Amino acid sequence: MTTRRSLLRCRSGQFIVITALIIGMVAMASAVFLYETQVYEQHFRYRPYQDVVMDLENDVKRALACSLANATITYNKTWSPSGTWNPAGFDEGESNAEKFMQQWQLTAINAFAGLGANLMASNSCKKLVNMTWARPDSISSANSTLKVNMTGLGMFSWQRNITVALRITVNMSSFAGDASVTNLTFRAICDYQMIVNDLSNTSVRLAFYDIGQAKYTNVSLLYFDYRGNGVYIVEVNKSCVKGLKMMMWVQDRRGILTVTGFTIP
Amino acid sequence: MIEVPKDSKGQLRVIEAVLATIIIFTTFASATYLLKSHRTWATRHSEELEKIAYNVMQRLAESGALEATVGDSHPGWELHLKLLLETVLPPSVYFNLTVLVSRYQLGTATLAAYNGEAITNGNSDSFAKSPEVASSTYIYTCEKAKIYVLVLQLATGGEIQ
Repeated sequence: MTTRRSLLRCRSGQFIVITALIIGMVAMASAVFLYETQVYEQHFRYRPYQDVVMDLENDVKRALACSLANATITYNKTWSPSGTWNPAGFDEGESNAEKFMQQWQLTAINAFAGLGANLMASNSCKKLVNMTWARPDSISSANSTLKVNMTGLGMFSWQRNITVALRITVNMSSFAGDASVTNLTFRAICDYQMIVNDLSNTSVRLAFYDIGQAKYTNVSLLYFDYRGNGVYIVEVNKSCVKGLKMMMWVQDRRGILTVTGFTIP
Repeated sequence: MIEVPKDSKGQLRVIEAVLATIIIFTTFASATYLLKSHRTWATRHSEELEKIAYNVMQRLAESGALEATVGDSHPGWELHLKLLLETVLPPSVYFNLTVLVSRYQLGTATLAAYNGEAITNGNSDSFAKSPEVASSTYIYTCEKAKIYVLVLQLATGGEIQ
């Protein structure tokens, strides 16, 4: 007997096809589900909060440093060889610094207007800049509080105190020398107790008080070296005499100036 | 009535198996295509470009490159800055940097164009036809007490299909 099969009536392969269709449908459904998940993920897109805030924080530091540098230079221009400064110079420097920070604030608001920026750089202290000079431990500093709201990024009430400073401390027990030279060491630190390690011999100037002429006279720098940890050693061509009054001007690479004043013990 | 020869008994099973394989293969191929959302891809690449733009500006500022070019404003500083950007950015990325300077008068700060020459490695078509474009704004105060706003636009090479 001959075996014959009819293709039209053959149903033995339907199970495989139906199974394949079911697997196909499950795979398609899973794919659509996963696709939807990815679409929803787009709502959590990257927003540059950190980058914008970091830029603002770094730049307000630069702007404050610039303001302080100009204020210290303006104030120092009023120095007279008798060893005093005119307070009007301080007021002028302070006023210019305030104006510059106002310009910075308005510029930042303009620049980030697309992100809904609303920021304010206000004085943390009574004055924007402070200069405590003519002491063995002298400091020039500027302090501001930066408050930022970015409505476009959904970020509110970010606030940070920003300080820029240059503090010079003369080591009063470091004086040494003889009839022709005087050695001394000082330590330079800047914002947030960071050491200053990039001063050079052009950053420093010294003068001694000549009692006969009743004025300060510049002395030449013979030696200048960095000893690490913000400590510098200086040698000048002036005899190391007890009771000699001296002044030292130190300017860092940002242009901030601090003037120390001391008497050799 | 179609008759199947005696020695072709397994052919039908083979056809069924092939058919099933084709269905499964087609399904997975379609699913893979669906999973590759073009919009998601473009969005992610734009985000990457935005991050790159901010990182580049941060690096240029911290390394002193902005001070030496924009801050110094020596003749040809635009070309110098363009070369720097070409060095730090991937070669497949188009850039266009616009430098604005802040002017302060009567209590108002305005921004004015500062770069005399275009700082770009592409043309207007590079940005118009690119599938992804991102931009970042950066504020920079130089030591000479001038405030600049830098807008860096980045676009990837290739055209929108």
